[in-house]
Amino acid sequence: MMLPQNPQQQLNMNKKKNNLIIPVVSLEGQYNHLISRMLYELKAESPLIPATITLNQIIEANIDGLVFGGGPQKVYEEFKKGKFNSLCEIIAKINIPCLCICAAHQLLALVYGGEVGPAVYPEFGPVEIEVIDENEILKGLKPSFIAWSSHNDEVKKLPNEFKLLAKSKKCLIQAVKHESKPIFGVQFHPEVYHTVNGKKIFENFLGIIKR
Amino acid sequence: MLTSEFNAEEFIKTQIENLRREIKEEKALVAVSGGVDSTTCAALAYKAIKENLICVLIDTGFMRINEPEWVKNILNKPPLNLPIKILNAKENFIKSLIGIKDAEEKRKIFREEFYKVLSDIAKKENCKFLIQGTIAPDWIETKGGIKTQHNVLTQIGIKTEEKYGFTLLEPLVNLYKDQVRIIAKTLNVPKEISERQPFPGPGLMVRCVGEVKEEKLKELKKATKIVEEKLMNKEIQQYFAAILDEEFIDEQFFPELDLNIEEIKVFKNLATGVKGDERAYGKIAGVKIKEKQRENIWNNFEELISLQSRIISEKKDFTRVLYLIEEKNEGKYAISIRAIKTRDYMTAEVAQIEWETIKKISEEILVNCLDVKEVYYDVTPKPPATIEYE
Repeated sequence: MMLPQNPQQQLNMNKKKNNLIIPVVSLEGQYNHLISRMLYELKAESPLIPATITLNQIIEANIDGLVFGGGPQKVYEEFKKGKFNSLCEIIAKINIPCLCICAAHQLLALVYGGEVGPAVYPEFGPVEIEVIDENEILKGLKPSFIAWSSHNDEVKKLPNEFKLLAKSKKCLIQAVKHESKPIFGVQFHPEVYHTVNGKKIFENFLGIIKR
Repeated sequence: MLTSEFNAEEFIKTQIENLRREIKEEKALVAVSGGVDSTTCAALAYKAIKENLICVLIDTGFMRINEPEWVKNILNKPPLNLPIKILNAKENFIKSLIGIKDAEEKRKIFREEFYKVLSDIAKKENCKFLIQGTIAPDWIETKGGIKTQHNVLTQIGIKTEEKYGFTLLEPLVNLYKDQVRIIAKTLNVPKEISERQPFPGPGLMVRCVGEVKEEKLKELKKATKIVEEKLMNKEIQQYFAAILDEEFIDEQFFPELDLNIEEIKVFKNLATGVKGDERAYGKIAGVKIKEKQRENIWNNFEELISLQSRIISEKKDFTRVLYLIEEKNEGKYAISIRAIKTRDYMTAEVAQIEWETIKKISEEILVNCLDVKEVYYDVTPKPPATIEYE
């Protein structure tokens, strides 16, 4: 019912089934469980797993994709203290499709050498996202769409190996993609009901996995 | 279990098996408020263990006018036939809250009183189990430190066997409200309940912002009745009134926001919000637009929402923006009307209501609630506000 104590056990348990397996790494944010719900609705197996998961456990579990949810942490401070070392290793080395949301989008930027800090204008609720490059993850969403946000911090500088996919009036780095790996980051929340095209983004993500 | 073609039949079957396996021949207690979650949970439990279920409704004093009797009536009747008893505990609750202003403190006191009462009944009736209708947003918000939902215990490390003498069973714990309603319909829970808008466990306590007082609660009950009657059947998922003390602090606002603004007041009371996955217990701004322009600006609803967004984005210690509809000369309290649209209550948008309707509701409140001076409409989505005030 709650997060499993042993993430490996949870992953192995699901490995037997035929559906895509896309665990959701919980950073204890409000909407992490909704990511699970969204992926289940799209017929994927998506157990919530704790942020203590290691790269080895992920590799052994033989999963199809991975989503990192948001959380309340001041990511840039925790990153400096090394609190997210295990997650950072996963984000740096993983080659399967990976979607990093909100706080995890900020962590992704830090792992690849970007900068994160307090937002001048924090965004809460509806925000217009302007699509610069649809790429694969934002396919069909040009020129813009309304997404819901909830963040006090933001990515200030894009990491070198990343492309900028979307921005908003108050937040210049809303969506990013690694130049060669299938790793994506979004500052807004595609998993909440009020992000009208949120489901489309997860469908696009599943499309990338199946490709 | 969470799929879009949510299989209610299968869910019910599994949960009934689980309950039977856990409870065996023992007796179990279920606390019902008449809300969707607790009633659905009770209907499920009754199906599983029949006579071994003891069903109580605790009258906390924070329910709406005539609500305990109304609920008892529906639940007692077919098709549910739940043998429900009302337990009057009004005194316990109101006394334990005297002098308490802080939202979290109020919620924790409520939780303690609530389970003290339940623990006593469980012992008296020899129940080893308590079955309750906790759902996903309850533990997500409590574990995330946004607000203490009274019905979240084991998830935050409270050992109920030791503390209260019962083992907790929560069959709906991974569901959202829209899924619970599907279960409710499948279990033949009457429409008056299955389609009912949510009502918090601590009831009107969390809408009586700041300190709870008898007369303040009384005014709130009257306003609640008016708002509910007028906004029913408008495809709004939740609509209610909250009451605030008509007391303000001095705080300068940026006058360049909008030329039509006559005044922005800052309430002494604070309200709960959720910003960037974190609890925010912040200030409440009351925006007064020049009377001539009030209707015009109301009709330009998107602009109104973005005015709210600008205030909260720039003033980081604010969680709410209220829009003044009507006022009179005298009174100790302000009423805030809140109406939102949502699916799962994790995010919520502000419902847009016709000016004539909101104006009529406000006038009626001012006439009927003598101690109310101002009536506002809450224009804050979730996030940054939560749906309830505390």
